Amino acid sequence: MTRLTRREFLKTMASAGLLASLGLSTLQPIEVEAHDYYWDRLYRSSLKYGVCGICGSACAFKAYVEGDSYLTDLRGNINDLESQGKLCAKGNAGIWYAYDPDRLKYPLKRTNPEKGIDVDPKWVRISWKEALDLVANKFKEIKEKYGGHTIIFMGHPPYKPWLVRLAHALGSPNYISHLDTCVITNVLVRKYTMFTPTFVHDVKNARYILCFGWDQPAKGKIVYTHQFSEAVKQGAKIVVLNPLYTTTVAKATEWIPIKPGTDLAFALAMMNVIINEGLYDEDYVAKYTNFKDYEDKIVSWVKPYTPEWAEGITEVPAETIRKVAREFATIKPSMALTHKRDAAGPNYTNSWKLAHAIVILNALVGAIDNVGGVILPRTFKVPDVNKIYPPPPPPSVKEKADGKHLLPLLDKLGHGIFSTLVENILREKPYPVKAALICNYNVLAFPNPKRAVEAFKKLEFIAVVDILPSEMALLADVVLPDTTYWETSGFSPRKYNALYPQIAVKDAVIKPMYDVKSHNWIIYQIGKRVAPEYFNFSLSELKKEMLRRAGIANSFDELKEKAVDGIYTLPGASFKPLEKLEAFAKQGKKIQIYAEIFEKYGYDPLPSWEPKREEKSLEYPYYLIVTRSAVHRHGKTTNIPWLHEICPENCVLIHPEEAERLGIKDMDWVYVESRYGRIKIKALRWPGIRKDCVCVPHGFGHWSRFLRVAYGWGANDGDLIPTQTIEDVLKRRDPTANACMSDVCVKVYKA
Amino acid sequence: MYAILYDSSLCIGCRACQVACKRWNGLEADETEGMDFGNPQSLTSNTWNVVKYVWVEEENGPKLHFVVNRCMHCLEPVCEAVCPVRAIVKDRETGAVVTHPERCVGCLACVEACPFSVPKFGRGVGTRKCIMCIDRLRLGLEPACVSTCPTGALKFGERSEIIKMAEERAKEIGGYVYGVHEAGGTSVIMVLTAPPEKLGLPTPMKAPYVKSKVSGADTLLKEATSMLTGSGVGESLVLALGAAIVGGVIARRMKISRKEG
Repeated sequence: MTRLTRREFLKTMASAGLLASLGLSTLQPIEVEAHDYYWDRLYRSSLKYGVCGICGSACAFKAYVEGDSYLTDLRGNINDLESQGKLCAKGNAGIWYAYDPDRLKYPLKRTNPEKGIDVDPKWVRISWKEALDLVANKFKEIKEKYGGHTIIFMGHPPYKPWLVRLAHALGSPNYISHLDTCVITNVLVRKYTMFTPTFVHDVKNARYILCFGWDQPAKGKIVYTHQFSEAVKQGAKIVVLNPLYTTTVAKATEWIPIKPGTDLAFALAMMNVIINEGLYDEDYVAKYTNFKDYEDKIVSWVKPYTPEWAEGITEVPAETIRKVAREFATIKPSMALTHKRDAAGPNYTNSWKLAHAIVILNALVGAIDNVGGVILPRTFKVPDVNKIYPPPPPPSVKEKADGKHLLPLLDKLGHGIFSTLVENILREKPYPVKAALICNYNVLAFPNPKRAVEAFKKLEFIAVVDILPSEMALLADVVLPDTTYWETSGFSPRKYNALYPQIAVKDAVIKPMYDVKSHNWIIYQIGKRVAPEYFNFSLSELKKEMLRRAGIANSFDELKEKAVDGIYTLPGASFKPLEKLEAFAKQGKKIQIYAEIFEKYGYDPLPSWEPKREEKSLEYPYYLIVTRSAVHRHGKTTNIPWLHEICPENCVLIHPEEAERLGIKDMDWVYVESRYGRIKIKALRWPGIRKDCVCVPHGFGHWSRFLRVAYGWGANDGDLIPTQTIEDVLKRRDPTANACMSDVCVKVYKA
Repeated sequence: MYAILYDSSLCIGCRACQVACKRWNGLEADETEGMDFGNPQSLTSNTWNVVKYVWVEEENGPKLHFVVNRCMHCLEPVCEAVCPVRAIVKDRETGAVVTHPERCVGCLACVEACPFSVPKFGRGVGTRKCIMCIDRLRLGLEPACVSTCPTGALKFGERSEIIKMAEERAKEIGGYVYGVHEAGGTSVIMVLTAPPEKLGLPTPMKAPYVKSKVSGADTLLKEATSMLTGSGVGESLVLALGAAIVGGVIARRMKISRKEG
């Protein structure tokens, strides 16, 4: 089966010309000259500037293209603050995304009314006009019958302005994103305690790096990798708290295999040491934080959290905690790091408190907006469509399908909750959901995807915008094929490593393959059909207006002219430490060590200790850890043969001694089972993991037969993770509604 | 004469180099299983570069090390010497040892002879291996793997400069240098965080040599090597032809010995 698939892939590649010249050269008299595999082609290629769309880092690259769509070479853009001339494994293989013969090629309509796992939708090809009319008419019909609020709109945050516009135009308050399963803890806590949800970390200049499970180099994130390696080269001290030994740990100076879900206790004990011993940066704390206003409260709050107390919880010796705290406060510049799904990501019930604790730690040592610290981003502020053209009025229905209206701080940010949405759809609360427009989200990304499938089956109508025939597309009534990042033009302000404002030009590197359209165009066309008064502008005019109002250029062509080798940097811009924080201080905004806004809404203003939800037991003796492979971006790259070759499937990583006890050898089939479900997966012994933990990497277990490379490989960790109800969230008093994606215990046994 | 530096103290095993190699050289994916810690398990005619994860038991418990498995581009390549049809040639200007799979007759002499077990024969494609992206070098570009390496673990430059860099870095981190003398010197120089034998690297003779698995071939091979070494660059057609003939004889003998074995 696989062999056949690969051959077909090869055929497509060959037809695209990629392999055309290989092995065809004839015997030539001069020995080495025969090797002209590519170089003559490179001479015929034209240079295009692109921005990678595999992950959120959006590395800028330079592509060499022959004809319309044959990529001859690919390089990172050296002028780009993010990629700095480099690309990761995914970025290097990215062209497969466009060339993939399994891609959705034209609009499709479902003819099989039955939906579910392993059910063939029996797609038929329809025209774009027919598809868009169908979606628009269905939405109009449902709006009339049940009200516009019964339609939900889902898509990644970059789609938000468009989806919100369309939702509001139809009278729906429901834009829902995936952040509760991804990064909401850090986004929300940073937004309210340091005014901006920043992920800019000056890792390069830090001399003491404390990672709370932070593992970006091991995920192949270029934007952090080159900085991290620079820090390693400079001899920075790198301490990693992680129950799993990853490739980041391999480069660290110290590995602390902390008990999962207890990092908060470690951070609290560090604060205890730093505050009691007066090791914090007095001037900084007084000038930029509200520490002095609440000093008594903070000192008495931190008192019980001694290193000895933390030792009992974290299983890290008190002396180690004390040592780390003192080093962290004295070896400067120092910084505590967290990114997405690490200890402070939405992994445990207490993760949002850890996110706050990390802000406090960084504030105490003066690391926020400072050299070698957490930087408040300096980006171009590009207005979105709703700021340029008058948006529709907010809908009259305020209750939201995922229940986020009950969490005011989260509601204000406008992100969504995957984990509660499923339960709400199933029990029809606060109202039944009837239809959905889902952009590039896969049902496999949900906690407990089997339950999510049941929920989506209840909907009358689903339209899916996607690139690959994903599991979500298989549940759709109408499938609208999206373009890849290779096929659209635009611009991309740098968000990570944004030390000064920079914008990358994005050409359409290749001509759109097949009959696909960009998601912006799709949403716009649906909008035009359901509420023409809000979609009566031209898309090229919008692009121009966005650039003009951001003060960058008067047109896209002008931006391209102003850009140096594909990158436009604000003239005279350079990184000035503390500049942004100073500006905030002038407005009276101080870093919220004591978070007044949390207190106002009835949440803990200071992170108090709270244990994680699940503890190991005799029945479920292992903590589940979830990680991601460096060569895959969740489930969306698993159909790429070059990446499939390096990591075709996930395995459950287990400590060799535990494996021996259970009689498990490498590549043995085992079951991993939690209270909520079980998966069949191969085992791999991994010496670098705590004995009470097992790790299941994410992104596998595709059941869409249309993904001919990825189908049937590995298992989905999501099957082990429960959904939650909005009442669960309210009961825990968690403002972020984090989905607790690793707060699960499992057992392992031979299959 | 160029060389590639691989500094394992900076490598994080992200595999960008592996994919960049496949992309530039248009290589098909291999079939594998399991997780990404060293896939594909060995070099093949489609995989010219693999980063391996190696656990080494140390004082404070097991530690993860990285090492690359790729053509070392020997200064005096034995594969070149044994190839009867000149399907492997060292480009003395750049230092790249280049395969010409279209000339390969599939005798496997190079596959048997290489002290690093690098060249691999593939059905329908001939024997292939890393060619140091000689086509890129001709354009003034670095090899694809080097140009994409996000950590700077891979570097490219004049061999003498690279050796200097490697020795400095090894001194700084208390590491090991591999490739300066191995097999008479190679154009891939590694800085290793653990002794080479612990990382699964072979420990070949530290002089230009031809590893012989063929009885009675030693003298012939040594002669062939000294002919090439003696002539400095070995560019003269006569010498090259001579080497090819010697190689052919060896390959024949080798085949015979394989049959016997």
